[in-house]
Amino acid sequence: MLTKTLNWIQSALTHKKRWTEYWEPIIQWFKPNWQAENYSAQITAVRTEQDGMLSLVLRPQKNWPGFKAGQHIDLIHERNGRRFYRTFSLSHAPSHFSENGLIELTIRKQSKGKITADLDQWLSPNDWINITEARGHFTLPNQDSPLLLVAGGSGITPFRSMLHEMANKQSHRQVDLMYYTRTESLPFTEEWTWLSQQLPGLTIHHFNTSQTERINNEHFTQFSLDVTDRTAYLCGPPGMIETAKQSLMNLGLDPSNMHHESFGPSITTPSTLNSNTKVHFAASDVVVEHASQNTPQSLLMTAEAAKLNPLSGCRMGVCHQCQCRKKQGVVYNTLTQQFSEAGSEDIQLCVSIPATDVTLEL
Amino acid sequence: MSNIIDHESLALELNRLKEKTWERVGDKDARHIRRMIRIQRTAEISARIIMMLCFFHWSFLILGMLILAWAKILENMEIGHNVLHGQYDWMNDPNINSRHYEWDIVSDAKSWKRIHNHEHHTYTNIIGKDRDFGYGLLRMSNDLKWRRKNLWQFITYFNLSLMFEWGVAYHELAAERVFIGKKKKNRVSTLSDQELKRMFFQKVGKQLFKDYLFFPLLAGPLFLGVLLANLGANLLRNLWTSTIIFCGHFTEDVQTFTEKECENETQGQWYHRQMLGSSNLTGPKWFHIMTGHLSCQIEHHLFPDMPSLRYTEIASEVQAIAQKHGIPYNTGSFFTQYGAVLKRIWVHSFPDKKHTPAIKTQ
Repeated sequence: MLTKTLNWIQSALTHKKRWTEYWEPIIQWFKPNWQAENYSAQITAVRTEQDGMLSLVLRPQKNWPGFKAGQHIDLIHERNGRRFYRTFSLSHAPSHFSENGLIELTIRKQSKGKITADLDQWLSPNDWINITEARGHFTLPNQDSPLLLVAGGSGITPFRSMLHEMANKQSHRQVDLMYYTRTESLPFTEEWTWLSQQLPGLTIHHFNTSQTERINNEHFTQFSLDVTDRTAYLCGPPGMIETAKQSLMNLGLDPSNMHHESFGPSITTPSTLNSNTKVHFAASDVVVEHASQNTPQSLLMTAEAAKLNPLSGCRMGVCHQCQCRKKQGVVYNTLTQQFSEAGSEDIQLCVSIPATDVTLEL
Repeated sequence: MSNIIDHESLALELNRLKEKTWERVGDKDARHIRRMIRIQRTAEISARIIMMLCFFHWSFLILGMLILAWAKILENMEIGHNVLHGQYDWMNDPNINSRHYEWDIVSDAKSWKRIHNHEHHTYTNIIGKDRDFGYGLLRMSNDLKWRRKNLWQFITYFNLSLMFEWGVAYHELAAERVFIGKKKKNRVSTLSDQELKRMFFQKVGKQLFKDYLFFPLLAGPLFLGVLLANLGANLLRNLWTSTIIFCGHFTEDVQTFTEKECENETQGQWYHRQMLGSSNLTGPKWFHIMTGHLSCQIEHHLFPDMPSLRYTEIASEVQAIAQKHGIPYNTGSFFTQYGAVLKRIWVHSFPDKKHTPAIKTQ
């Protein structure tokens, strides 16, 4: 009751949802990087891990709430007046953060990427940048069950965080890491030897996909791994995760013991999906034909193509910034792989594909 | 509308100008709006504090009132109006976004967007469709039948100016419909009367609480002084905004249209109508800012969601295009244009001397 009254008074005085939103421009006189809804962090180092892969070492502001190994944050980067949100896994251990106050993000430079392609030219040590709090459920269970970690490319980042955390706790847990890269050398080269020494239960299987085959059943059986008692964590491009899941299921691993995190917008649609639908943007009074024959398009992309400038963030269903009220119609959520109800509800535009004609409050 | 105008090439040229200008939009515009918000917040807070100094001398009330009026004008015009038009949605900043912004005026932002952005900007100066034309109170054109109440419409106009924010809020609500039950056939509303009423009273309650209860109460024994100063600030703001808006659409040469003329309108014809239905004001940079760049009403009506700073920049090009196509480009100093507005109100107070075929609405 009291909070409700205070909230009402607050919104009457400032017209804003929160006090901090009202004070933000004033606080920015003194702290240019302060943001009401996000945290600021100072870059302490930019480290090249490998050709095309770099790590940002960041010192978040004091009240940043911390994280669990396997979680990710959004990096908020402003370029030419526009804010971009990009999601990255935290690649160092939570214990490293509590000891030194530092976090690391390891970023693969996407040559076609709008932001990552030349990120290192924009950011240099001592610069300030904004980050969100940590999110995600790709974290380890508390018990000491044996693990199977499958990583593809920069999908190694959450596992690096988990392994460092285990090393810090001197864990004897049995861990098999299957690591697929396109190169012979691994990023974080020196660390692997150190981690293997610290963790007696750790075995690393490296596959160079430029020489060996991509992931398949035999990769699991050749090490006579009994996967049935494992908890599996998969992180990498969507295609790899799909194959790994299938293989592990064939080998008898219960799907409830599989956790996965893919990066890049993984838009997979059921074949039954209607390919031609109409999207009605009610507030803008625009109707657009939504055609998604070969490459399925998210509603966010459709809205952007119609120049509606919807708010957007991570573009992978994590940050909920593009959340929008759907008035009617059925959409397919590529993340949960579920169809929505037909009625009015909030949907995330970036992971929604219309299954019928859809009306959006946009 | 005249047929000799080449609407196709008019649309082509204006679209090209629009694209060219949007390519330049970026850092400069983001810095501008953030700076405006920062200045506005500082002024608003200072005004509230200065008013409290009336314990020392009553004249602080006058000073506080003037600064508050100035801050409110800046908030309503350059910030609120333009942000709500979606001019800064591309920044992807949730606090400077048309979907979240709420402004310091009794009219609820969501209702205003629905009516103003949609009705007024789409059906500009179409008699019977654009309710902003005379606000149903004033006869501003001989397209409207003369009624007895028009005799004293000069007084009505000054009252409307002083009470402008209430006029706008009431008008946006379509109050005749909601409260009295008058329905018009050509209006469809997506919201129920209940919802409209709820939104109206919620916002009104907050506004009254802030200016006429909370801040006066803070002043304790000088309750009445602060209340009057706040009232004065609101009235001054009303007078200014109303005057600027009347200068944008009701100057001498601004034309009106019938629904029939605008059926199956092409984009070129729409552009043409927007140019005929608006008029500009000349002045220094601070003047443009205090009008929220509605001094460039023509440019604003052509490209409502373009960042305001760009209007003054493209004005000469728009004028050149208008000249080339033989379309009048109505611009002048504040005093000339305001004189024309007053003349227009005065002239239409009386029945037409010559019998002009008026369009009967019955």
